[in-house]
Parts: sequence; C-alpha cells; structure tokens
Amino acid sequence: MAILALTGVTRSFLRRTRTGRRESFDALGPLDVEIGDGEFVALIGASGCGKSTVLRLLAGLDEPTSGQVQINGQPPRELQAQHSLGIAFQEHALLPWRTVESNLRLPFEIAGVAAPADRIGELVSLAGLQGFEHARPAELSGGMRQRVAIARALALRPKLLLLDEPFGALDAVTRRRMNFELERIWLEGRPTTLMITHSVDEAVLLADRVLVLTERPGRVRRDSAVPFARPRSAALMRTAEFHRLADELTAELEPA
Amino acid sequence: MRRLIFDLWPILLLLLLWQMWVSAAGYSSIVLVPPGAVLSDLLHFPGAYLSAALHTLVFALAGLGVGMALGLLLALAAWLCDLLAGLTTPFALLLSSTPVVCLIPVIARLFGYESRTELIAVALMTFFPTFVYCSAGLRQPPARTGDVLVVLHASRWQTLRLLALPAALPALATALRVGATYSVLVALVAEYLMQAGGLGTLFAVTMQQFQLARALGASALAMALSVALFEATRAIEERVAELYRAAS
Amino acid sequence: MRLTGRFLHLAMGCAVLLLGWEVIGRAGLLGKTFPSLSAVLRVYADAPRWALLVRSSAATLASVAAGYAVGISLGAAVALLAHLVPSLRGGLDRLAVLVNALPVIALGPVLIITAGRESTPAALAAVPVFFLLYTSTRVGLRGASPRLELVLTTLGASRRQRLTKLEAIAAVPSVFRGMKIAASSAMIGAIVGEWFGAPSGLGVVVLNSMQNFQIPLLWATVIVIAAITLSAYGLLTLAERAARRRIGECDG
Repeated sequence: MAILALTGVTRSFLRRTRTGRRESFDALGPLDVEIGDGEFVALIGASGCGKSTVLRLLAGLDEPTSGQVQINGQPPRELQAQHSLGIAFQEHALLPWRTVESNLRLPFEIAGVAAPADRIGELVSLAGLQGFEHARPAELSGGMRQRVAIARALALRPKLLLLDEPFGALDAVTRRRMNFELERIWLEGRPTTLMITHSVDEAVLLADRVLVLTERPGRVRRDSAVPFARPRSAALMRTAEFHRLADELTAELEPA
Repeated sequence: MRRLIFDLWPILLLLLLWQMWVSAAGYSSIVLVPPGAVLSDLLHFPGAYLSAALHTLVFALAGLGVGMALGLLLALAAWLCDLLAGLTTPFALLLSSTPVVCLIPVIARLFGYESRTELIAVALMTFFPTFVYCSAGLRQPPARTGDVLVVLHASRWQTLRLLALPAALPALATALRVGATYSVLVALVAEYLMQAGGLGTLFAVTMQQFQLARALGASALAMALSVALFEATRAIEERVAELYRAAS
Repeated sequence: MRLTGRFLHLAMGCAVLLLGWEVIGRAGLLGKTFPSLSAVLRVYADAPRWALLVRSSAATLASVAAGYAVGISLGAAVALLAHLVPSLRGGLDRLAVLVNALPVIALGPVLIITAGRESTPAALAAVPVFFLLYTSTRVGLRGASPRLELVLTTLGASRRQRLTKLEAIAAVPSVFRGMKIAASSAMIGAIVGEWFGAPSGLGVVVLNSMQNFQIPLLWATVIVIAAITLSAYGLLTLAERAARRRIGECDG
C-alpha cells in the first residue's frame, strides 16, 4: 500500500538569463497534497506549471527545495530501494536491443530476483501482446510500445504507479483505446496511481480524483472527486454529468 | 549487380584518362606505366603480392582490434570514474589533434623500426575515435531510460552493464567504420617508413627498383582492401542502426 | 558547481600530464627517444630553430591552403553536379569512396615526377578534402526539408530558385562541418606529401629530425603540427557555429 504526502513542497531552479546572470525561478509550490491508498489521481494544468516536477519528486528523481515528500512516511528513495515504484513516460523508454519479453524481465534482473514462472506471460497478456513476446520495439507500433512500457512499470507489483503523459505521443483513436486498456490493467492490482495528462477527458475518464495546478509556480487550484463507478465505459463519456465535470475542469485551466 | 557495374563509370573514366595521359606524355616506364601493365602484373604474378597483402591485412585488423578495445575500455573507465574522465580528456584532445601519420616518426623512434610500430600506429589511430564515440554513446541512452533505471533502483554497475554499454553499440559501430576506413592507409604509411613487410614495403622496394607496375599493383591492392573494409564496416553500422531504430 | 568541478578535473589532468612528461623525460624512463618537457621547450626558445619552425610552418600552410581551396571547390562542385543530375549520383558516390581510399604514399611518387616536388603536398592535401567536402555537401543538399521544398514548388519556384533559395542555404552547416573535419586531413596530406622530397615544410623537418636522431626537435615540430591543426579546427568550429546561427538552424 502507498499513502503519499507532500507537505509544503517547493521546487526552485537556477537558470542563466540572457545576460549571463544566474537567477532562481520557482517551478512549484508551496504544495500540500495527500493521496490515499489505491487512489487513481490525475494531475492536470497548463504547460510548464510543474506537473512533471511533482512526478519526478514522487519518483525520487528529484529533491524538493523545501518541504517534504513522503511515501508511507518515508522518502521516495526508500520505495525505490524496495523496488515498489513503477514509472512510465511519454517516451516508451524500452531498450531497443531487447525483445518484449526481455524488456519485461528487466525490473526482475535489476531487483536480483528470478521472475516467477508465469509472471512474464501474465504481463504479456496484460499488455495484450500475446504472440509478440520475441518482437523488438522497432517492430511494434507506438501504442504497443506504450503497453509494454506500462506492463513493465507493473512488473514487480509496485505500490505506487507514476505515469507522465503516457499517451501523449499517440494519435487520438489509439489514445482513446489505450485509456480503456489502462483502466483494465489498473483494475487488476489497483496500485496507488498518479497520472499526468493534458487531456481533461482522459483525466475524468480514468481518475478517482483530479487535481488542477495553477500556472507556474504550480499550486493546487482545484481538487475534484470523480464520482463515476468502475469499470467506466465509452457510454459514460456521452453523459451529461461527464461533460459537466469535464467543462468545469476545463474552465479551471483558463488563466486566472 | 547491374547497378554496381553501372556505377563504376567514373572509375573506368579515370582509368581511361590515366591510359591517355601515359600515351600522350610519352613517359618511360620508370616514370609511369599504363593501367594495363599494372593489371597484367597483378594477374600474372599473384604470389608476389599475396604475403604482403596478408601482412597488411593482418596488421590493419589487429591494430583496429587493439585500438578499439583500448578505446572502449578507457571510455568505460571514464564513465565509471569522473576523475579519470577529467584526466584523460586533455590527453585525448592533444593526441587526437595530431594526425597519426605525423606521429609515426615519433613512434618509430620510441619503439624501433619494426612491425610493432605499425601495429601501434594503427591502434593509436583507431583508439581516439573509439574513445570519443563510445564516451558519447555511453552517455546517450534512449530517452528516459536512465530515469527508469533510477526508479528501478539499479546500481551504477547495473546501469553500465544493462543500459549504457548496449546503448553505446551504434557509436562503437561508427567507430569501427571510421577506424576501418583508415587502418589500411595508416598501416601502409608505417610499412613504407619501417620497411618491415606488407604492401607498403613492397611498394617502397619496387619503387626503388623502378618496377613501377608492381609498385602500383601493390597500391591498387591496398586500395581494394581499404574499400572492402569500408563497405563491410558500413554494412555493419547500418545493421546496428536498424536494430536501434526504436530508440525514441 | 558541476561545471567548476569538470574544469577543475581538466586542469588537474593537464597538470598531471605535463608533470608526468617532465619527470619521465628527465628520468629517461621511456628511453632516450622520450624527451622531457623542458627539453622540448628549449627548442622553441632557441632562435635559429624557432626560425626554422616558423619558415617551415609558412611553407606547409601555403600547401595546405592551396590544397584546401582546390579540394573544397572541386568537392562542392562535383557534389552539386551529383545533386542536380540524379543519374550521375551512384557513380560519383563510388568515385568519392575510391578517392578517399587512394593511398597517399602511392600517389606521392607519381605526383612528384609528374606534377613536381613543390605541388605534391598541395595535391595530397586536396585529395581527402575533396572526399570530405563531396560527402558533406551531398548530405547537406540532400538534407533540405522536403516540406519546404514542397512549399516552394507550390509557390511556383523554378529548379534554380529552389536550389539557391533553399537547398544551397540548407547545405551550409553541413559544408562547414565538412570543412572542419577536412582541416586535419589537409594537414596530413601536406605533411606526408612533403616526405617525398619537398624543399621545405614541417614534414621535411619531421623526417630529417627523425633520421638525424634530433629527438627534442622532432617532438617540438609534431607539437607545432598539433597546435596548428587544433587552432584551424577551433576557428572552423566558430565559423560553423556562426553559420548555423545565421541560418537559424533549429534541430527538429
């Protein structure tokens, strides 16, 4: 289980101006967010508001300038060390010289444990890529690669799943299909999940909660619960309630 | 196949020009011989060329292997140890800006007028491009894979073995192509100066004896070896690029 | 902080290198043919030898410049031809590969006799420059964005206009890149060319000092060669960057 808490988190960066001086600019915060066990949270906001920074802080890829990032009361590095973190980016980040099967095996190799006999097969089925176990990423379509990337993120049954615009590079049709795939996959284990997306529809479709960040420096502007039951269907997206929530959130994205 | 023959027209044109130049200028055979004479010598006396060609090929390939192995090892060491990276950079920069061919006299004085100088010269020439390309390749894994490995809690050694090293393969293939292109030529210059065997020595000796047809035959053979190595390594480079096509 | 760290490492590396050189040379650890740093520096301080190096540099640079100019013009011109006349392309590409594979030492003696001792270094410099400029010009001309080509054609541009307004300009960064790499090859060609009996030049000094066992002079000359090559490379890199900025090259 994974309970996330960001308390008073800020992140500033140093950058060089055109005149050559170094100045600090605030990318994020102060931010106070709590995410409960098994919640699927979507993070939306204008470009550059610091969404990816939040994800990187939770992944242990970055440190806050001030404040605390805690997962089950410990820093993210601890969760890394327990091999309980799964991450997928907009870029599939698959190793091109490895087959699908071999890519799925990678988390096990690094953790130094043998993959249980059927686990790899399970993951391949999860990704819906039966028959492609021995294919290389170069032979797969964009959507297929992303499915492998997400299956890889779930390989070790992580307590926390982080997704940074995983479908951003896909066309609209594939993207919609992948949304439903992701829900199906997620329902298997229900890890605590944080997903960053630019698409309000995608956020409302998939998440239990949607957080809207303001423009830089990003702060929480709105925290909406998504009341729809699971599993969610394409029909849901045509209802009035769905549209109302999506419109409200879209309005929140307008500059203040 | 037809394409290949069709593409050879400039070469045939050059050979024709060569032939015309010799006939027109009326050079005696100690100055320049027509292409026909060279071809004839090659075809009638293959044995005279064989051991020399083998010598050049062996030393070119051996030097290529040694140079690349050392270049790769140093690149790996520099990746693992930042201090070493800092120490080796000025050294690499200094030596890479000196053409190896100009270093051959220095190497000859350091290691003697023997064939090991040839090996060292070729190795030195291939060492630097390999070090530079591999150093870059190790630091350019596919987008975001570095992040994924951090999140998976991979150790430095695991990252090197599972990510950085395989990711550097295209760079290694490029280094191979670059090195192979010039390995025969560097070997040739070294052989010419050291006179310790190979096509370069054959060339030097037969030039001194005014056996121009044989001398030019030796250089034609060297050229063929050079082109063959270039085409072979270029094919390898393309195969590797094909495999890594999905890197982003 | 990262940048200062790297600079510090670099400075340390240089210091270690220079110190090691001096120590090894003095102690004779690598034999008589490895001079100490101070021995080499003394060559530069010695007036007549410094004058020799200056004279030789001038002679070599003259050959390099001549070969460079010829190689660039021919290389770019032939590449333009290959670009405009598709049927010639395959053959010309093969020719370029072959030219690159020509052993300089084989061309040397032939050129000495037919073209003369004086022009051989320049000729041998021109050969690799031709290949490198041919390749980079070809790549550059080919690299113009097909989308932009389409835009120009739709606007009614003629072949010549497409060439001058788009392709030639798009090729400039690649051409500069080729020129940068060609600097080193031109030096090699000129120096090896001088080994075949040129009256003067850095290659001549290298050969003579090698044969007469004048080790500090040999090393001093090789370092001068390296310094010139490095400076030329540096200048051309700056030129390349300026060209890219002027063209507004954006990656992707």
